Amino acid sequence: MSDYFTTHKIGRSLLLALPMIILNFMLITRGNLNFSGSTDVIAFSITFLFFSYLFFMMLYSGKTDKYRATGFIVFAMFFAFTFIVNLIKIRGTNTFDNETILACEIPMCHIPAFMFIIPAVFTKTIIFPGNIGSITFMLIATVGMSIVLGRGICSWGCLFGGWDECASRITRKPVIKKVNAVFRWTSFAVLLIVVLWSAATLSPTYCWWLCPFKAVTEYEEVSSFSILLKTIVFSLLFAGLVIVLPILTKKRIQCATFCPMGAFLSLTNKINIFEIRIDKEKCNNCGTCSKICPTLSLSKTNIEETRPSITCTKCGKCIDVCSRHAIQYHIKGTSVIRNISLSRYLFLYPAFILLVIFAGAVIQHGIVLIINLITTGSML
Amino acid sequence: MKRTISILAIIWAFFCTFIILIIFIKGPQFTRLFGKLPSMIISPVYAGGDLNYVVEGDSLKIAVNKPVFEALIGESAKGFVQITFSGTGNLPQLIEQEIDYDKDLKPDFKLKINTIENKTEYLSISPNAGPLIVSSKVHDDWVVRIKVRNKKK
Repeated sequence: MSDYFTTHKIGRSLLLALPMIILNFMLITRGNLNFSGSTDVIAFSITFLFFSYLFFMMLYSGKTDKYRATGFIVFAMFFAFTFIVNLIKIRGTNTFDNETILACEIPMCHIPAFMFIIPAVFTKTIIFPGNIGSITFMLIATVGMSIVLGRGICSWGCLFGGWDECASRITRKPVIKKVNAVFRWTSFAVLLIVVLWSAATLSPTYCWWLCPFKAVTEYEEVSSFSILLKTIVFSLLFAGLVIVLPILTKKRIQCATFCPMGAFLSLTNKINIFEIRIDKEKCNNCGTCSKICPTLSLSKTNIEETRPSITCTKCGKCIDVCSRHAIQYHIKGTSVIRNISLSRYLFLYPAFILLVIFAGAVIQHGIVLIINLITTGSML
Repeated sequence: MKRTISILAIIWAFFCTFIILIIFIKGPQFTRLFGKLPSMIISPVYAGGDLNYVVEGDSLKIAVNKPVFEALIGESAKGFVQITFSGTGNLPQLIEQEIDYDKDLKPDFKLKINTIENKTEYLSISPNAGPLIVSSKVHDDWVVRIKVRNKKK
């Protein structure tokens, strides 16, 4: 009898995962099956099987966070690795200098978008020394993603979030057991300061001065005292907010308390259709969800209000940990107690597609580089 | 009413998958479309400003841009002027040039650039020309930025 149920569960999960498996195939190949060699075939196969397995397991096990985090962390590591290798191929180094800035060739990620708004309104220009085509695409993608997922981007599509997610999972138990939920609002203070600072100086100040992820991508060649100061600032922020504090607290400290883009995306959570809800009938106020929330989004008040704070990144950790199944993905405007599975599937599809779109190509490329390193001794 | 809202919400949630797909699959088309918006240009603070005039010599072309006094509102009191030196073939090893950035027929500063040794000597002539900000090779060209004072301020 149990065999029957197991087979039935596998079959049902496979059937529900099938559209995503087909999409995985299409997105990872990008519609092009002309592999240039066996290395490409191996890289494609590993990437395709990896993502198909993750999604299938999300449906089969009913757990979201464990499989999401696996894909998300691998993505962040591979992104940094491939990004640095590509820069070394092109420039010979992962530092940039005056030539790169004057040529407007600094690659842009999704994070600076919020700094552009005020200068764009007043000066009708973009305050970033990058390629206008890639900046335009990144802005469209950020707006589109935030409409669909709100702050869910921070747990499903951010290029860097996997770093502090990884650090927050290193220890089994937190050394610092309690982090006051009030710290989730500090990222809004950072957002305000950076927005005003950028508008006043017409420069992407977060990128120049504060972004800790320059440590794992590219940074300015140290040629003056001010650049040395910038290097010290971002290195300390990376060490403190992305590595040490997440290890000690088991929280995503950089994302929860510092990232201004995260704060900006929190505002889009308000207009987003997907949210996390708590069923008051089932909840016994054990507080486990509040303890494990990596972004400090579930305080006692939030539990009483049956929804997390706007800083929630929809990672699914609280849903997985709740023994009474009182927390779930929810579509605004629908009943909290009905359509639980449907809400979860409808959220998981766009969220996982986002992960595959960003991570698929990066991981595939990273595997090619690793195979080249093993077989030829060089990645370049 | 509740049921209608519920159905509409589920339909919207269902379409979210397609929105994500469309954004990325049709990304290049969207980029071209939105790239035409008037605000989608790089700030002159980074792009170096509009071209003012060009001086063409035998082996050297000098492009002098309009001074950039970009500010959030109006113009700032201080800005910079960008000069680009391009060789007809390779850049000459030594570039020595007086520049009149404001077209008042008087040289405002003098530059002596050794493009091989990456050394720049700068001499301000006009009181409006401030210190050298940057002097760097950019691809096959050489770009210099000089701090200048806004005469209107």
